[in-house]
Amino acid sequence: MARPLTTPELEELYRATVHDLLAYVRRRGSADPENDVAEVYAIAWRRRSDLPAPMLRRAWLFGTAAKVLQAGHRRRVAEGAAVAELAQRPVDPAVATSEGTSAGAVVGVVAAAMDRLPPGDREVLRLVEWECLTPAELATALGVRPGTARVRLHRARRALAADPEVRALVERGAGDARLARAARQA
Amino acid sequence: MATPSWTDDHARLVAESAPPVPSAEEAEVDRVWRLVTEAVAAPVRRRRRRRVALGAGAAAIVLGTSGVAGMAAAGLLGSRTGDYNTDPESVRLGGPGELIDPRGADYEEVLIEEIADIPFPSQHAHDVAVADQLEFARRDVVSMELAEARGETDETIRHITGGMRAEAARAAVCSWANAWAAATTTGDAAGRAAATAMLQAAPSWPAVTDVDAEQAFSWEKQWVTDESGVTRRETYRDYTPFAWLPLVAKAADGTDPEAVGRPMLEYTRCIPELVPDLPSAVPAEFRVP
Repeated sequence: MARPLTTPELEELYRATVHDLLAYVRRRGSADPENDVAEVYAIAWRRRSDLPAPMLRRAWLFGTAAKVLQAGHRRRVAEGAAVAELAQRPVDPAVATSEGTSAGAVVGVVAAAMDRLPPGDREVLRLVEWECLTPAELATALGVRPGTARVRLHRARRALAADPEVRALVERGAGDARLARAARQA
Repeated sequence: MATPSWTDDHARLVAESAPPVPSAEEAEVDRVWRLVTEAVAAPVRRRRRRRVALGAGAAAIVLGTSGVAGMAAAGLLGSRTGDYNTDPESVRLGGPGELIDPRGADYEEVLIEEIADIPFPSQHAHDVAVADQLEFARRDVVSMELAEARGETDETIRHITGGMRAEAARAAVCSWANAWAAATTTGDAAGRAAATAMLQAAPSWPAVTDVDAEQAFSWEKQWVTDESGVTRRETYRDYTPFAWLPLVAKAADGTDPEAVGRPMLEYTRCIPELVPDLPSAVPAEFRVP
């Protein structure tokens, strides 16, 4: 069995990762970020004997945070609070800005396309592109083998790239880039 | 119409779609740390400030119960599906072969059959490698059951025989590296020669080349968004699943256990029980005393 994490090591892990964890749960609409993040580190402490290697612990914390958020969601559904909470929650800023600027519109299109993906695919893309996880870290966060994580990432990327609106966006972007190059050369 | 390939533009668009969130202030960091220390100090489950904390602790209980029930129910299923991994990119990433249902009652039997050509230095090493894969299969079964309970129908997990064989090959290489270290340390020339020959043949094992004929490192770029919302390109070192194996094979010519263990520590995962005589192959906290 691995040597258990000591309290100073827990604090070191906490100080190194808590900013990322708070951002993670906030980006996923946590209703109570501070308590959710505290719960994640409390779980890390309870499981201090079987944490992954130090370089993979940040990813493991993300995976645990996902479970904490899911458990919270299930609990709120059971309490009948989810509907009222959703009604009160501010609109996702990424979508809210979509009507303002063209950059915001692009973000809105991508955010909507992400919402159309199955939840598993969506989270895989978010972990890699938002939280900058490597494939090995992704495997740790999902609790699967590296090969499985790579296949899931490939599947999710393919699904998003095939979305008609994303496709149009990328093709338009490529066209704009060609026009810009032609203008510079002229 | 063909599905477009994933490009840097796609990655950048997804990175930029992340909702902006405020940076945590030190007061908040200290506040959360106090909550953590309360939880660490209290032997019983703490109460949330506003709600009862069932959290992942409850999920873990459900997970265990569900897992046991699921494995029992799985007794009716066979693992072999008769379907094959045909998507070229999936084959590149997960290996070729038949799709295997981890819920099958005969999963262990299928696994042992599939890895029969992979040489292990001992039956014990073989059994440890099999037990490790069975544990992953059990977790996948639980994961599917939880997803099903949540009404998520897309969460179907299938293993691929090529991937299962590659996992076993990795465990076998770890075991041979351990045998090499033990023989080198004790001056067992015959044992060392046998282990060296096996490590140097491993890059050509079908279980390895089926998933990674290349065994190489490369430099790639990715989009990274920092805390101020600025997105930039960053270079990182990518590597194929068995890129580390030629480094181990080459190091086996020498007598330095650190040189043999380091590539495995840095680029792959050895089951600690398989490398008691080669501690440099696993992180310090996982070493078998």
